[in-house]
Amino acid sequence: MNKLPENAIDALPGDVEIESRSRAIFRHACDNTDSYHALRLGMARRKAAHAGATRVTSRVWGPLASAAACCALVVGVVWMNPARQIGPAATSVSSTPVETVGGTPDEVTPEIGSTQMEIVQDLDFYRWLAAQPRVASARDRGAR
Amino acid sequence: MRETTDAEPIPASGAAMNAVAVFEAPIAAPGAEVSRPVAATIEAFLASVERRAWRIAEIALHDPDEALDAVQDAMLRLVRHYSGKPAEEWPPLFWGILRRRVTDLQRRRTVRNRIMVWTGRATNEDDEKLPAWEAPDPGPDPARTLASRQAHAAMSKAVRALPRRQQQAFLLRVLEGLDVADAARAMGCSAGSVKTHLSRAMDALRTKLEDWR
Repeated sequence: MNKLPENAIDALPGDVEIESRSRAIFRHACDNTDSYHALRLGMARRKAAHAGATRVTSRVWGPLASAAACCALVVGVVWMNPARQIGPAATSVSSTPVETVGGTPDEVTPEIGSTQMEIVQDLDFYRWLAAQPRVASARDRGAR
Repeated sequence: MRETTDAEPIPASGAAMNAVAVFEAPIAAPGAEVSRPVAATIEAFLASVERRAWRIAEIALHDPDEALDAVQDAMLRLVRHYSGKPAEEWPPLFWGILRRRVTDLQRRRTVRNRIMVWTGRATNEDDEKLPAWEAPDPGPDPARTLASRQAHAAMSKAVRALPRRQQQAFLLRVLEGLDVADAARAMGCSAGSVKTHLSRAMDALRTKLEDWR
């Protein structure tokens, strides 16, 4: 018996059958997942859910903790340098060394490196500080 | 070339309609998506999808442990980056993440195989492995279970032989049941491309269905 080409094409399964067969096989395979892999999948899911919860918590507390740390840092800096607040008003010192012409040797700003710039900027404070022990020691002597 | 669409039913060939031998599954409408309820929480969504995701990754990777790693990674990424999204968006996002992860692993394996070829230590991926120990089957019909395993193995082999994009279209549209729009989002292409890839996949699989019976 001769078969027409279109009959040969009809003999092939259609999309409906392919879909239904593959879905049935797939569903059966999913339903019969072995206990080892099912357990590991459950563990992976719980781990992912836990990671999400941790992330949500850190998302809330992270910025707050950062802000608190910044505030603590600022308070700490202010706390550690109270002398700057109670000392004489710091005059602005030029960062470039300037030698005053005709001034006394004490008033001549020395040639310095960049690492000593902070000391120069606080020079007035150190002068004021150097004057303090004399006053304090004179008070002590007067008390005795 | 035939193209699978959402609305138009595809005429089924009558000759092969009596071929459901192992499973008495109802014949679904062509192109019909599997309607699944929207999960209330992301953990419930992951619980509903985990086994299918693992099976799909296993079909694509042919390695259950690598498939498990891919699914776990996809779960983590979904929860970390998209748990705030509406629940309706989780399926395409999850499948998109898993698809990219599987593709990465496939590419990595390709590179590794090339290196192994250069170093002369290549192995045939289709080599039969030693049979692993399996727990005794408590099911009532071992013959049926064996047949289903063989059918699954044959289907997996046929799907793995497809080009990557056709493979993804078949896995997402037919096995997972995503609609065209969600499959397109997961695949990162247009809806038309999804239809084209799926149509070609169907044509390629049509000749191999005999092995699944």
